[in-house]
Amino acid sequence: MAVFDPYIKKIDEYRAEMKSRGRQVREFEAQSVAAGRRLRLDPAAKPAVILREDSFLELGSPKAGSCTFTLWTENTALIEDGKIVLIGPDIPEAPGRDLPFGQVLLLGGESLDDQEYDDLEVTARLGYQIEGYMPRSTARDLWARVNRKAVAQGFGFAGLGQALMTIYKNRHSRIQSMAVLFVTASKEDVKILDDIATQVQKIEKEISRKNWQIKGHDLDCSLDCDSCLDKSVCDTIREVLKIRKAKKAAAVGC
Amino acid sequence: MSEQDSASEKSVIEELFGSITALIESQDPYDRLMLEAYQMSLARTSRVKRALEEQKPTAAMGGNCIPEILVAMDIEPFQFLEFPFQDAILYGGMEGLRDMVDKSVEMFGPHMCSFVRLACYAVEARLAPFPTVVIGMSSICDSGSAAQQLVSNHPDWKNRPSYSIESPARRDEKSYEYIAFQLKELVAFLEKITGQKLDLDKLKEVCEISNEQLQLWWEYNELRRAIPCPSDWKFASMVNQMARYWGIGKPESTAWLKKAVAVLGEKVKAGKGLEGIKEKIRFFWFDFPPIIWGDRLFRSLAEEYGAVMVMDLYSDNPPHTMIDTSNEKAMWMGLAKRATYDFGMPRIALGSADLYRQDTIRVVKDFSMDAVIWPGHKGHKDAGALVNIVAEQCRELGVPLLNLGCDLLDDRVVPVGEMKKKIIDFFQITGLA
Repeated sequence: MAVFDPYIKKIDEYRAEMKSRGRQVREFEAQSVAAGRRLRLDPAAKPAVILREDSFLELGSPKAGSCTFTLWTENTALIEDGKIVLIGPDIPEAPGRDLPFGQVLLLGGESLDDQEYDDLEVTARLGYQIEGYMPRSTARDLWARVNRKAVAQGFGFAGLGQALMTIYKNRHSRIQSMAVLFVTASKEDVKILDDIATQVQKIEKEISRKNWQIKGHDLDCSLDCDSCLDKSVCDTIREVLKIRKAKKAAAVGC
Repeated sequence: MSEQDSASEKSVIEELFGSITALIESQDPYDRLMLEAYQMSLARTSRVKRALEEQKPTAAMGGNCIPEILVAMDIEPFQFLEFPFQDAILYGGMEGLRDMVDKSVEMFGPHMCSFVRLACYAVEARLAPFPTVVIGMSSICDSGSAAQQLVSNHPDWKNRPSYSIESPARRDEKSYEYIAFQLKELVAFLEKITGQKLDLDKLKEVCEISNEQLQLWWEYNELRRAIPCPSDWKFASMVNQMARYWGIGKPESTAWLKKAVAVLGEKVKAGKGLEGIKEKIRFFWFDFPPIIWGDRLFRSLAEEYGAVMVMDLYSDNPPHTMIDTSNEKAMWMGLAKRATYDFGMPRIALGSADLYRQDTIRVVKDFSMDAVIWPGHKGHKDAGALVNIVAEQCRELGVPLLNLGCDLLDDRVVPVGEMKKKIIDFFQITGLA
């Protein structure tokens, strides 16, 4: 599964670029996250509500900006297992703030293939198993809250990264190595990630389309007008619309 | 005839909104808010009707469209079907509505979406008020397209000013630019017709209020994750109306939404669900809620089986498009995206089938759903083609799905008692009840 390899390299370049721009870049090792900073996980938990008044901070609200995506490769050498990189302030350093939030998960496994994608998509929604954390997300946005009590007990990005690794590795035996990148520095920095996400999402959609085709369902047409048998019909409709719009515009004089 | 099927025996207000009297007498903040919302809704109806009578600028819209622009231009938006529908119910009760439905079937046959068919009937029967302009939008809804054709060719309507937005199927910058271009063209058209100029500062102000309202809506929706769920579907519909339709850009709606979040937040803190309901089953209603008969069905399921409809397709609001008001170009692009791809039918029906699948995963997981009910509204033929994909996704998630089959307007097509029986059988077969 080498299709994401160029994007994994892009993430490395992004990290270097952020460093050269003077952003605060910190690295943690999941294995060495101190016991007191490890977060409690409950696989049987249901998504809990964290009220605004109980929140220590928000991450990635629509106003602040957010982006999340997952990359995977069979070339495990590309992924430094257990590495957690944080660009920007850590959670305990930002009380009451609404930080922009970027999260990229990097997975490596010699037998990871396209078939894993559907299940990875479900795993991406299991962050609520982490105590004190309320993620709410669409395919590409991640808006989360962390409650005060959890931060008082040591909730930070090192622990969050480590907990996510546990969730993923427990659910996907084929994952051999995993790394996580968090970005909270600025909206602009998250936006750069979002541009990468646009490309990644196109690939994901194609993977999903193929997986579901195997199951006997068409999720999408190719949207390639040049090869579509109905192209002439659409062309005619567009011409008619153009003429009607021009007639209407002329009638009202605009 | 079962209790659920005896709608015509009850007063219309009771049928649609529950007991208004009980709301008036209640001191519960949740009930007080609901009452306040009804009052605001009635005030808004009066305002639009007055504008129609006094021939002030109004716009009839087919779907979600772009209320922010209309509000900024002091043009009153309303839905095409809104007033004939309300009048039929208020003056004729359920029988009045059913009479109108029957006449619409005689005129257009049974196969169209009943809501759109009623709108077409209102045009043909000269019940629909004439707006200053008609604004349409291309849609996957075959009935909607037929209605646009009817309006475009009807002798009373064909020469009335109208503008139709064409939404491309793609969702990329190029598409948003194309829609933004059309929105600007629409503004020029509206300025010409109404003589009212768009003040960009006013538009910016409305967009900023609207951004805040959307965030409050999201906040409210997150509270529905709580077990037990603190809100019912009628309250959710009101939040939807405030944030996405007639409350857009209105500070009083923002104030109401803030109170809604605060009141629901208190309920969540206290671990309170719906009054008198012991929640046992949480389900996702994968379409818009049936406003006419929904209360009969959902209330009895909740009271007798603890089965609560926690989320429906139209009060769900997953995308996070904030309109960037820092510059004019960004503002138009934000409006374009929000108008066409963020909400309800334009979002899901103009997108790929993948959205249905993704929504299934997100709603089932985030809101701890035990089951998904696919209403199978007979008018939603586009969605009918996708039920197998959603069913397959539900199977993979380990959550059962019921393909119910109904008409979201007319409960004589499949009576409420029959639907309830099917749902209870489904809960029992799947071990939920």
